[in-house]
Amino acid sequence: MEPITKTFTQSYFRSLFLPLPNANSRQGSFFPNRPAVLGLWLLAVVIIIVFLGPMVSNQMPDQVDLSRTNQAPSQEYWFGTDQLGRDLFTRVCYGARLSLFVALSTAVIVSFIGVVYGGFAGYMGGWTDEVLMRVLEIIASVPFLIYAILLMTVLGPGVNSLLVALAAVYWMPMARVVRGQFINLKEEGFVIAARVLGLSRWRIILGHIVPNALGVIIVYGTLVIPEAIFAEALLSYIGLGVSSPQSSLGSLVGDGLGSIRLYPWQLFFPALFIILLVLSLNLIGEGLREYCDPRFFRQGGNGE
Amino acid sequence: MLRLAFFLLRRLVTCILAMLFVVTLTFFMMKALPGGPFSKEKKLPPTVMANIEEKYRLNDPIFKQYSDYLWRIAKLDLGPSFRYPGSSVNDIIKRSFPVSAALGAIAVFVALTLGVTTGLVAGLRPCQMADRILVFVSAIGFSVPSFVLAGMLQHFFSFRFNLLPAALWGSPQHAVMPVIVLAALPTAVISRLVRIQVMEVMQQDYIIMAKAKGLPSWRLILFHVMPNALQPVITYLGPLIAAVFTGSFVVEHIFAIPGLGKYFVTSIHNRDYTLIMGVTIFYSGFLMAMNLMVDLIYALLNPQVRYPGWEE
Repeated sequence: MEPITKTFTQSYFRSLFLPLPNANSRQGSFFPNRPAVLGLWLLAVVIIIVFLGPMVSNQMPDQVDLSRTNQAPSQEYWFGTDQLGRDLFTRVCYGARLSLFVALSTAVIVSFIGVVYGGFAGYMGGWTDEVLMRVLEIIASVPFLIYAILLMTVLGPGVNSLLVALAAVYWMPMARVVRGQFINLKEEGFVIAARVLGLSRWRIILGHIVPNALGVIIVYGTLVIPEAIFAEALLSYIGLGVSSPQSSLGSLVGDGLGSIRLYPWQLFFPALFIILLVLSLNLIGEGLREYCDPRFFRQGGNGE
Repeated sequence: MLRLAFFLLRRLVTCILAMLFVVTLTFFMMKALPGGPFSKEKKLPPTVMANIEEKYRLNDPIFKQYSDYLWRIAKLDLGPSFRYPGSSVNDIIKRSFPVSAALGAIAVFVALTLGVTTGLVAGLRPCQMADRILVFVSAIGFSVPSFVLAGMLQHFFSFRFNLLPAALWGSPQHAVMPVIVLAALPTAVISRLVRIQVMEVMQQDYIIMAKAKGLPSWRLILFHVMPNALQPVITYLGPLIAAVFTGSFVVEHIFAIPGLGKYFVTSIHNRDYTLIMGVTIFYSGFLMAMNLMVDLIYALLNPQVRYPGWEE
C-alpha cells in the first residue's frame, strides 16, 4: 500500500509539468501543461499573501474603528477600510482562509462519503448497487443550488452548516466516479488473487482497491474545491453562509456590492481574490484531469 | 421504440420520486425549523394563536398534516405566503415567473449562439490567435462568480459611464446586463464543449474524404461538422437551463428585476418559509420537466443513443 500511494503523489505533482498524453491536436507536445503550471504559481502566490499578509499589515480583521470608516486604499490600509473601519486587506485574507478551509474540508468529506457509498455499491454489485444508484439518481435530479439553499435554510448560517450542505450536494458525482473505478478494479487479477488468498473483504477494499482508485479520487477531489468556493461564496452572498462576525470572500463581496456606488474597492478586492483562487484551482484541476484521463477532457464542466 | 419508451418511463418515474423527495424534505424542514412561522417578536394573544393554528391546521397529527400537504401539492396548490398576507405562493409565481422565463429564454438563446460560434471558430483553427484568446477568456469566464460580474458591470456601465440603467425591468436596455451575467458561464462551457468536439470531428475520415472531394468549406462545416459536433451541446441543454434559472436568483436580486428569483432571495431574507418551500418545489418541478424534455429531444434526434440502464 505504501509504495503505490507514494508513487502516486509523486506522479500527481510531476504530471502538472509533463506534456499532455493526448497529442491528437497540434498542441506542442514538448511543452509542459502550461495553464496548470500557471495555476500552481497563482495559487502559491495567493496562499502566501493570505497567510503571511496579516502579519505584515499588522491589523486585526474585526477591529472596529469608527474614526476611519470607508477609507480609500492607502499605504496604511492596502485595500482601504470598510464601513465599520475594519482593515479590508486583513478581512480579505481571513475571508479567503475561511473560504479555502470550507472548500478543502468539503473536498475531504466528499471524498470520504463518495468512497464509502460508491465503493460499497461498486464492490457489492447486483441489486445493492442497483438500489444505491437509483437512490443517488433521485437525489441528483434535484437542482444542486436549490438543494443547498433548502439545507442552509434549515441548518441556519455558520461554517458547520455550510460543510453539511456542500457535502450533501457534491458527494454524488464523486460516488459515481468511485463506483465506476471499483467495478473495473474488482475484476483485476490482483484483486481476484487477494480474494483467492482468503483476505477479508475490508482488507481487499482498503488495501488493494482504494489505493489504486486514489488517483481518480484525488483528481475529482481537486475539482470539487473551486466549485465549493463558488457555492460557498454564492450562499454567503445570499445571506445563508457564514454570519456576521466571521467573513468569507462571498460575504465580503456581498457587503461590497451594497456600497459599490461610493466605495467600489470594497467590491473589487474580495472579488479579485475569489477570481484568482477559483481560476488557479480550475487550471490545476483541469490539468490533472486531462493528464490522468484524457477521455474526461471531452465532457466539459457541468455548469452548476 | 420500446427501448425509448422504457427509457422515458424510467426517467419519468425517477422525476416523480425526486419530486416526492423534495416535497417530503420541504415538509419536514418546515416542521424542524425553530419557532414556527408565527412566532414574532411581539407575542400574539393565545386565542389568536389558537385561531391561526386552527386555520393552518397546525394541530393535526403530523401524518395527517403530511398527507394533506402532499394532496395539496398534487393539486398544484403551494399554499399561502406567511409574509405577504392575502397573496398565495401560486399568485406570486404566476405574477413573477413570466419575467424570469423571458430573461432566462434570452440568456439561453444568447449562450447557445455565442457559445457555438466561438467554439466553432476556435475549434476549426486550434492553437491560433482566435483560439488562444477564446480559451483564455473562457478560463476567466469559468472563474468569475455571477454576482461579482454583475457588480462590476453595474459599476462600469451604469455608475461610471452611464450607458445602461443600473436596475429594474421594462425596456430592452434593462435586459442587457442581466443577460450578459446569466449567459457568461454557460457560454464558456458551451464554447469549450464545441471547440473540443469540432477538433475531434475535423480529424474523422469522412471529413477528410469530403475535403478531398472538394466540398466547399461552408457546406463542409454546415452539413458535416456541425451536426456531429453539436451533440454534446444537446446533452448540456438540461444543465444549461438549470444554471440559467438558478443563476437568476442572484441576478434578479442585484438588478432588482421583479422575477421569481428576486422573490426567492427576498423570502430567504424574510424567513418566509412557505414561500421558500413553494418556490423550491416549483423550481425543482420546472427544471426536472425541462430535463425530461431535453432527454426526449435527444433521444428523438439520435436513435443510436445508448440509454443508460438498459444494457446493464
